[in-house]
Amino acid sequence: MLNVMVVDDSLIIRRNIKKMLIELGCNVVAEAVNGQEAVKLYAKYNPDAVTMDITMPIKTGIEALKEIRKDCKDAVIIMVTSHGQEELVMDAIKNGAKGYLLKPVTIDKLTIVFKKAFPELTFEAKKELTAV
Amino acid sequence: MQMYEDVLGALIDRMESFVGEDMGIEILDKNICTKVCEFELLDCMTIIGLGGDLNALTVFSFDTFLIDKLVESFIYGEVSQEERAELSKEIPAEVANTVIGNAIPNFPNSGKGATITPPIIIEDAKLARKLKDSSVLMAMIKTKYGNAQCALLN
Repeated sequence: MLNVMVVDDSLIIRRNIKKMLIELGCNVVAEAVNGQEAVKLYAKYNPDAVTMDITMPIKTGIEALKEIRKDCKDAVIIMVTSHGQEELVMDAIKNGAKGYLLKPVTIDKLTIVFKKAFPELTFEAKKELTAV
Repeated sequence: MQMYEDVLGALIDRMESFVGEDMGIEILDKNICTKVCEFELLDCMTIIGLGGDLNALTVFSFDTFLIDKLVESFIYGEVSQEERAELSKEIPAEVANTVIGNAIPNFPNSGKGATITPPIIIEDAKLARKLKDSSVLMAMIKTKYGNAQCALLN
């Protein structure tokens, strides 16, 4: 099972991504609300992947990405971004981000980006059973 | 002034596609870029500043029923009553943030040099009125669950 850390200053986005990742069979080991917390929690939990918002207070997603990858070259970090941030996304990719998710995040987008980052793994949404 | 009308046009277009296409809520009407001296704020309101090459405040406000509907559409999976109440408070800010972020490429000069501040939620506000040389531009979308309005103040 893939251990993932979710980083976003928005409670709603963190919650949505967490729920989707759980449906895809991932284990959410940590949540961070800014880049500074992300760096700290990455060192503590050493997750297999991170979803990282770009625009956050205290320390941005790109600053956190650079810091994490300085110590861990294999870190799989997927940026979460809006349409207007293409230059920041390019900067993130140059600095080792494995992909990006455009807001609003959907389970389909999340599945595609995780399949690209981990081609050896299978990600399938587990549908909830409805009582008949 | 034309620049700010273009900014507001980009914002309300993205608001329309966000609410209509991304959230699946039928849009009944759209009013764009009315210059006003004052306007009444809807129930749930958030402010985000535009900086860099722009210098303006955006004020997004929503009717409560529309926010309830947006919560249903925006929030993924099952949600408890307590969680719903907590998340409802953040929805206006989240919608405004997403709409602006997505609209920036359609700002004048493709949004190059535009920056945005984090959102601030304002509760119980009723009216905004222009003073001196300030300018207020307003746009609105109507849905069957209520209205969403976006104003640009500079």
